[in-house]
Amino acid sequence: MKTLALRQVGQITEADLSFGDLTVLVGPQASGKSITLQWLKLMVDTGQIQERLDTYGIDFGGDLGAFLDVYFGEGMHAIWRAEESEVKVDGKTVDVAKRIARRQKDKNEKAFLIPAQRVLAMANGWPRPFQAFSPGDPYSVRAFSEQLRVLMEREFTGTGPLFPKSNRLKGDYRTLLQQSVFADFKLSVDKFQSQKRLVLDAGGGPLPFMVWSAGQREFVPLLLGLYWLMPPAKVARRDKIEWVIIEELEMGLHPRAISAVLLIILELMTRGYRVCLSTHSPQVLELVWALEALRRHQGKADDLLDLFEARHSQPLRSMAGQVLDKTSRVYYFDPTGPVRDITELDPASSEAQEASWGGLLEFSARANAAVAKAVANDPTYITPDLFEVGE
Amino acid sequence: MTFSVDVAATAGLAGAHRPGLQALTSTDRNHVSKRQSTNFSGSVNLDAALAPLYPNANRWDYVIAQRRSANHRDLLHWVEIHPASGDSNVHEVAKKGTWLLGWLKGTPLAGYERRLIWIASGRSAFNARDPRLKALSGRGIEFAGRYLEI
Repeated sequence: MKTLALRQVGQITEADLSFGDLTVLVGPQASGKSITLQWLKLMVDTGQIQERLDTYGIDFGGDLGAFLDVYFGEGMHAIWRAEESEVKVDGKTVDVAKRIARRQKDKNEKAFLIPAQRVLAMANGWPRPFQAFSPGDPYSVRAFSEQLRVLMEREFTGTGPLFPKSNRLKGDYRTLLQQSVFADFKLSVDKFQSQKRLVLDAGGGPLPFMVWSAGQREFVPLLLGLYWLMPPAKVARRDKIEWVIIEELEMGLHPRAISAVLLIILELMTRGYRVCLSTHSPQVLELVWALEALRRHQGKADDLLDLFEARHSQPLRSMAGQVLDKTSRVYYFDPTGPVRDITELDPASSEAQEASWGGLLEFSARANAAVAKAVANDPTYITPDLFEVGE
Repeated sequence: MTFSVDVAATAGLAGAHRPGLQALTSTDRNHVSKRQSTNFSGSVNLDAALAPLYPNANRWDYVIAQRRSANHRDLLHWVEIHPASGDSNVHEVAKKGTWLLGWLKGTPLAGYERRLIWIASGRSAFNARDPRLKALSGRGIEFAGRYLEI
């Protein structure tokens, strides 16, 4: 899939997305970003989703409204309005009702979606199975949680360390994550009254899920998702997965931790995944802005690594060099009109939404203006010498 | 006193007052727009008017006076249209700001409320989170991007 278009779907009036190797969606709450990402998965993975629903005894009877309530969550059938709503893939209109009603042949999963509600995947420190959720919970949360459960069952049998772990993630990434997320803690699997669970331990005994910091609770499901996407064997990608979709990767994380996660996102791109993110973090757009500028001005791999304060090791330099050949796209989900392409992210653009990066810079700009005006009018502060600073 | 009177009373600016935004060159006028509710008391091309008196100074470009209610004096927008393509531009604009505030002292225009605004003449290398712009704000100069709406 190269393009996805949505018309009159939920709160989206008009969205024409052309995907890059990295595609970022920004916009206020409830502007349609999450729905768009779920449509992307649905269009790519229809057959696999149908098969999973069959497996767990979910029968929507071929009815589109019932399916949408299962897939997007209870009550969400209302996002589709007969005669108005339209989905196009690569320029061709999809007969959604027909596509959902008929069993699709291709059952391979090609898009891995890490939902914003990922923390719900963990109950008492262990991933919940698909059927442990309410039938009205969104499919993306249930499927993600199930995927983590399968990962833990198949690839982390028994008890022992989970992070850091030598055969998972490059050493450079482990170091950055250790510093920015886990500090002195180690993540491992242990047993409590025969029940396996994830715990953190800094040497003072195991700490169960509920006493972790909010950021650690948010990050661990994301980490497990990354483990799924980057298998330990010498294969770049997991199974047939081509797309990685992550909602709000910044949730609960300090900017240094976001930086470490973004570096791993670049790694995913060099492994051949196409990455789609939704975000409220200006830091994510800073990355896209820097990538575009480095491309435009023949920046080097080392320049990109400096952005992350990462080591200039050979594996990272190779990764960063490849990333500079990749493409990025940024879309602003405007609650009052069509979705806009703001990829240029030019802070001096005549388009207000591009200049303000979809509103993410608005507050900074206003803070700058307020401070400047106060200083410019303060007779006790303004002196000509002030401007010699920085010469 | 009114803006036009104070301009006329300022050394080097006699005859430099223009109505509306007419002091701005046609190219520079593309960078400034007016809200429907805004009224201007006029503008001055400082750079041109003060060149004979201060030929080697880091002269600021323009001042634009925004009319306010009867009880308030005009708000003066001191506008510099300058490239924003790199680090050196920040220092150049800072120097111009230094010159402007030094020159302003003792003139009839010093008593007006003011904004010092840098408008990018082309593509910008800075975004609003840039520490260099924050440092400049801390020195009284705000960066407006390529377009300023008053």
